[in-house]
Amino acid sequence: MVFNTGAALLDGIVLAVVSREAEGTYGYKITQDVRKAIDISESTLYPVLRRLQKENCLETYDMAFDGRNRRYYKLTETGRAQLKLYKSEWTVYSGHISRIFEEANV
Amino acid sequence: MRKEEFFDKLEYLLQDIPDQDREDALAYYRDYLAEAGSGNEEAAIEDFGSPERVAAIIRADLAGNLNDGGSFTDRGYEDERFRDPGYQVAKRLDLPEERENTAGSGSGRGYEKDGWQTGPSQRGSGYQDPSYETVREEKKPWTSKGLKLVLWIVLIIAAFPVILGIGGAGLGAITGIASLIFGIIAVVLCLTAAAFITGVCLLVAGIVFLVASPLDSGLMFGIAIAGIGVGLLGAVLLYAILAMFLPFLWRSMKKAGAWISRKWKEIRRV
Repeated sequence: MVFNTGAALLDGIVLAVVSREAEGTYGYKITQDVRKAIDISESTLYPVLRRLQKENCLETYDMAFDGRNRRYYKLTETGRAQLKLYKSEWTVYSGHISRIFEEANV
Repeated sequence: MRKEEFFDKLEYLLQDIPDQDREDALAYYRDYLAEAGSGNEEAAIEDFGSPERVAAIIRADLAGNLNDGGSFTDRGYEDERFRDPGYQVAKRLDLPEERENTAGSGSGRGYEKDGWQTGPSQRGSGYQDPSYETVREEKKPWTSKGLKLVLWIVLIIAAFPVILGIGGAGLGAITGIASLIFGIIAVVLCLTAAAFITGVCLLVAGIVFLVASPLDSGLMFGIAIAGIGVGLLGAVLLYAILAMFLPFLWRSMKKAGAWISRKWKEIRRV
């Protein structure tokens, strides 16, 4: 594809992916889920997750799994509000773009 | 790139960030590979990119420079700042040592000076132009080379007796250990060779005396087989020393050296 995904959109996608799991989800799974939508390298989500955590959009907790530690990321109330904002913004934005393309004469 | 190699390199590149941040980042990427499973490990490391790139991403996050950074496209993350440092040079020079050197200097000070502070408007210029060469030149130390040399000579002369004592003892110890290893190798080699030669000679003798005195010949065969057996054992031992123990020793020494230099840098920074 030729379109870029900006930092805000990526934040929105990550928040949306995390919001689907009420109990939270972990880095590997988030990356795999995001990769279903956009092609990112497996190393890129770490700073994004950290930033969202720093901005209080995500909270983490550790749980033992299979003899090792697994860090879960969970949406906070701030994160939920942020996601709501991203979602409505995206609906408006993508709606406009879609209409333009629908009306285009090709 | 193997997993240990990747993490060793990454840890080395991140040695100057706060311990907590480093542990956090390394734990994330380690856990990631654990989740991927041993079958997908190699592919995931491949996809991570070089340790320099991952280190750059982690640092950019710490510096808070990621907010206005690159963008994510279907071809992956597009931010010139996170391209492998020195990738252009690496393409031009195919000598492996050169490649290592340029990658090293690219991820060092010069990269920091130039890489992070580059705003989005200047993106792309970060590595293409030789601007960090100029940065390096600006930061020339105030002492001249000549003065430094003289100071070093004075220091060496003044500290000569001490250096001689410590150096002598250290050199003696190193020589001793090296001679010991060499001696062991020589002894094993000689014994192996002797056992083989004895075995083969007795085998030949056994065949010669087979008809004349079958009993003696039987004894010779027995000893020959024992000799060849001992020789084979010796060969295995020799292989273990040369191909496994010596490389291990060398790696350990390099690791110890890296550790000492890291500690030394930490001490100097404090």
